[in-house]
Amino acid sequence: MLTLALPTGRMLGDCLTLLKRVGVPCSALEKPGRGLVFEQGNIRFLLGKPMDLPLYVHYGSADLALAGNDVIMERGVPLVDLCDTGLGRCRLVVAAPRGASPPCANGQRSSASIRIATKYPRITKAYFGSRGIRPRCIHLHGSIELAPLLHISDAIVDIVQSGNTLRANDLEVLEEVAPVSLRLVASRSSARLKWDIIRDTLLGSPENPERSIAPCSNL
Amino acid sequence: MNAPTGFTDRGGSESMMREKLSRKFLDTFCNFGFQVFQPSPVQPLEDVFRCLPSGFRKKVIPFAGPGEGQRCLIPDVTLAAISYVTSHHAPEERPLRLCYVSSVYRIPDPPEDRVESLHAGAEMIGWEGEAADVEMMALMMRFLDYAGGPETTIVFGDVNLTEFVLGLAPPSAAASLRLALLTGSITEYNAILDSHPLPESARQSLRNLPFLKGGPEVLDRSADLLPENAPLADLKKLVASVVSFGFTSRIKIDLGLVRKLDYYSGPVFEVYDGCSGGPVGGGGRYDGLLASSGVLGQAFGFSLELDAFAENRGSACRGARDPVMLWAGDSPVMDVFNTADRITAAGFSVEISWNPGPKASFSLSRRRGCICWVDLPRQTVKTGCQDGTVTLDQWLTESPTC
Repeated sequence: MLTLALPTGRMLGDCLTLLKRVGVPCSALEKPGRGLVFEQGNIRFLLGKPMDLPLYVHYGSADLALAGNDVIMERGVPLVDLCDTGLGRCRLVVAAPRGASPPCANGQRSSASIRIATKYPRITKAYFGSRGIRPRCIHLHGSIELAPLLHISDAIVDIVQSGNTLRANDLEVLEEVAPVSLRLVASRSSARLKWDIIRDTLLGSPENPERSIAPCSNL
Repeated sequence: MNAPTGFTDRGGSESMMREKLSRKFLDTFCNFGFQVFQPSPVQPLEDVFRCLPSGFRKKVIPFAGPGEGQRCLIPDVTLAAISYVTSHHAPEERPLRLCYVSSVYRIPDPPEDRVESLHAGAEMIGWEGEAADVEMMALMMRFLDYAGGPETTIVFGDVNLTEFVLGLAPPSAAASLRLALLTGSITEYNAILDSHPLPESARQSLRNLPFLKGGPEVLDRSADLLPENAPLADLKKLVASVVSFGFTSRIKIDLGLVRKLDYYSGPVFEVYDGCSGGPVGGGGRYDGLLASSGVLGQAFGFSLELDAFAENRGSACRGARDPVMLWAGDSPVMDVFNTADRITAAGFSVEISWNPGPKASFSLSRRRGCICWVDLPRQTVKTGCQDGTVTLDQWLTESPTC
């Protein structure tokens, strides 16, 4: 039996399409209602907030999760990133009001006073920290684009897909922090102790490479 | 006053369990000629930094003074053990067998916040040949049977083999591939492979490496998937020895296994607890580290996190003694201790109750979860699973347990 944690919200539908494609029975999740735990075939599914999925895997409640690498990086939990599903592609970027000085450009501002609004304070500190800049992180849980308009922050670090929301709020991308996509991750112990079942169920065996959730199986 | 974040004051069943596990570990190894090593909790920062990989240095907790030089809290006992061996023992005294139970201090990975953990480990230094590795594994498995039960699993890899395969890539790519294996990012590993021009056979061997996981049969399969001259022999011998002890179902192979401590130079392994499924320690051959300290020869060691075993099992210790309360009443002290000795000799632990009245003593024994309450003045025993009472002599003869 494998336990797979899936994100609630808009990514759940894409995850189910992906699982169906590789032959994992998951019809029980099509109308989950308020249920959060489902069992079908040899898989137990857990539904959780995207940001919590890495923790479920870390603490051993789930063997695997389909989670964005943005939340995996933000949690900083040591997990095994088994493959990139190619779903949910977007970018994690630094954005600021159009025409404003880049918040980290040398000599433009005192680095001590840079204020960054973000859902990702850990990534933000590490990203700016690698340049010797220590920003003041304002941790918000949504509508990050509002922060510069309200003068709460000088810039934001957030995920961008089409860029429409940024443009609508008169913001522009200054730098890309990292590309983001949905990854299949496992705990180190599950990746080692349950490898055969993980491979055969989700990564495709050498005989059945088309049954891999990776866009191009390496097995 | 509470312990600061990252540290814990312990008591109750967990600290009892830590103590029992520590004692059992040292007994297991001391019975086979291992000497107990007690490292100082403070180590010279410069020496520690010189021996630890850069990725591990950020886990070290440095502090200043007293005295000259920078210090740090001990992050790894093996380094201290080697330093001790080289400065206290002549070459002709080898092989040297050391075992220890010691706290180590590391800045943890998120989301954990524990800085201090209790490690039990052993080092065999200066014995040439595979027998040393096998002896260490056999003793470790004996301890794991006691502490972790039959569900504990050992995952084997081999640093020489991993380095051999990574060596098929150009040096700059090999370093990135090693880092990707260390951080567990197979996605990144594959992306690096895709971005470097490589001969097809080398690419395929590199591609296979992180996927060569599973039971011991992976070693046979690997011969077909890796270059013909890949150094699999050492690992095969070690795994065959552990299989011969009857542990086949508890062995896994991961040929992409890279340990955070990079001083290993041969077969390596990690131990996974059957209860929590989490990693609880590991070890392997570290001849290279020994050589860097000016000592030529073979070295093999491991360490296990006793806290993990203690937490997972709480008071359900294998071999734990059932507690008995002995009410002394107005009996002479000598009689009390003689009776206590008889009770412990029968396989129980005993708590002496000096309460003036039996009622308070009996109720305390219930609160403590004692299986029996001994009324010494009356020479009787009340047990939780028997109606009425039995005489002390009868109870000790039959040693009833519930």
